[in-house]
Amino acid sequence: MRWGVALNVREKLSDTVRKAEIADQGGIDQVWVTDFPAIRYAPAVAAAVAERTTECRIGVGLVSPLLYSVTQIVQFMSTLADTYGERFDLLLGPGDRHALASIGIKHSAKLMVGKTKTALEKVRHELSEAGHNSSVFLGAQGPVMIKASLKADGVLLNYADLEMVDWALSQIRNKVPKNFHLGIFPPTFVGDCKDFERNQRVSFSAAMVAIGINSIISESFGFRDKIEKARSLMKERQQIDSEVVKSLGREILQRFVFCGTGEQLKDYLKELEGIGISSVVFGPPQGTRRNGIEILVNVKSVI
Amino acid sequence: MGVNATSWIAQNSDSLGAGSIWVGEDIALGQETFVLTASSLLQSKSVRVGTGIIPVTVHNVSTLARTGVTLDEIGSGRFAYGLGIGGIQDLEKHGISIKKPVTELRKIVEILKRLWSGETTYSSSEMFSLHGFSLELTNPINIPIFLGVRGPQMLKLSGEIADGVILSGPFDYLRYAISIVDSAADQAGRIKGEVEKVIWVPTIPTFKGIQEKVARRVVALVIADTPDAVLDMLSVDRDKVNQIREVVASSSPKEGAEFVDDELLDVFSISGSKEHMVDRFEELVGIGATEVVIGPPFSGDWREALVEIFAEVDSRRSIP
Repeated sequence: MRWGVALNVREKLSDTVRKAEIADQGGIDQVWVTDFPAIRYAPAVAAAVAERTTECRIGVGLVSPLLYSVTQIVQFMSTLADTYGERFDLLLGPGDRHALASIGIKHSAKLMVGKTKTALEKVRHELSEAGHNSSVFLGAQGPVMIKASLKADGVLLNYADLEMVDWALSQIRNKVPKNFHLGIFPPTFVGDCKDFERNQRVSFSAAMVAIGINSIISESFGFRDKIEKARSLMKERQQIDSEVVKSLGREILQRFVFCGTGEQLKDYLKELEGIGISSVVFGPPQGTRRNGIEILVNVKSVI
Repeated sequence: MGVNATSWIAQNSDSLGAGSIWVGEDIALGQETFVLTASSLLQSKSVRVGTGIIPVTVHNVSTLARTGVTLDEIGSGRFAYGLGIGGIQDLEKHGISIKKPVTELRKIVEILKRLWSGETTYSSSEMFSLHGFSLELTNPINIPIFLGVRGPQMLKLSGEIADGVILSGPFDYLRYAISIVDSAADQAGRIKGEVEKVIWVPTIPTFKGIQEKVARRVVALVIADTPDAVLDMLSVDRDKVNQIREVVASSSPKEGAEFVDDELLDVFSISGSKEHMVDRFEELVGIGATEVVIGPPFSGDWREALVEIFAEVDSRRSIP
């Protein structure tokens, strides 16, 4: 199993670089530098991470082709590789609709998906033409994006529930090309999770993904009504708050987050491997604290 | 400009005695400016590193704000943000038009300053639309803004609101531009000399292997991108200038270079021996430049040329 961890959520650049060093020295295979709605610009942060790490691959993303043109994406990936070597991968995805709307980017879901699919093919082609070996991943939830990911080097699903992951893989199971990376990128928290609804960083991260979930999935798994109600509540309150989280309930939230002890993580990873997952990226809040990276390093060292 | 050249400059900037490094953006061409700026900051120790310039017309304003925060943190205060609308040729080539460029640049500078001060913003303009966007800063940050401008309204705007101005053009134009910036700064109640004047004229050290045809090609391109208002100030052969502009537009700067004579070469660039080039830099300081930028183009033995030019500057500084 390939291990990655997401950094650069809200933390200062110096914290991100220090955590990347710990991950690098601790044998984590890849650090992912998230982009918008993260405050700091991922390609520049990736350069700072590359200066201070030697072994790990560095992922840039999720990057939205609605915010950057194909040329801009290819330019920053190429410049990173030309400057620091062929260590960089890219994660493309439409991005969070509400966050994009706050910076004046408003499109229908259909157009967002269409633009992302087009960008995926162009970016991958142009990076390859430029002689770079960067893998281009697609962040996906619903069947359209999951199928579109077959034109990428891999897919990262942003939910944690084994039943949902298995369902996603069933969409493409017999069509997966050789060397294709099947991965997940859910919110994660390795620690005490007895009362995780009260752990704001965990429950809010899970709620954010849950609220953005594709309606085909929520319908398929029988929680569409609850998601719609939570969305309405979020619109009314203009943010995700504890009431929105409460309205989703533990059963739904748990599907979108891994929250458990190191021992439970080991078992979870075995189950993921059993259904064909080869890569896991530990999403926020795991990488938001230095201690979170150290915990991951410790767990990885005993597996 | 390649990453190797940029890295060499960043790594040698302190020993050369440079005060700043400016990294430019050609829309959709070459390396990505923010990554190059980041790597220049990371590979240098004490020089200021600035963008020179980023065309605001091709980036979401939130990206401009975010890159500012990131590069300011990477450089621990050594970053300067050079912004502009973009070159005429570049914008036309990419089908970008903007109705009120001066108003737009003013609004963008204002919104960036508000975002860097920690505000949550609701604001829109011809080019951007923000609805509750914030950088979630706990402490305000102060990033110097330099505007790469040419026309009189833009020069006035720089004098009013910018920390510095990046100017390019013939000496007669530069005198005029600096007087407008200073006058606008004075009218805005700013302290004399508060607005830095960075002069970026093509510098072509023909004494170190760079061929004159390269110099003429660069000048052809510069002439093609020079607005009529600037050309009107110069006593140059206007027919010849128009011919160059037509040839560059219809074919390429290479073809246009054939019409660039010695007079035009001298008006639109600084070239020749290192002594002559440094003489010209001193002339620029005499008309109000606070900083002179050397290069590009970088060809021939440009590394050695830089070493010799900076040594020449240094030797003159040490003369009492």
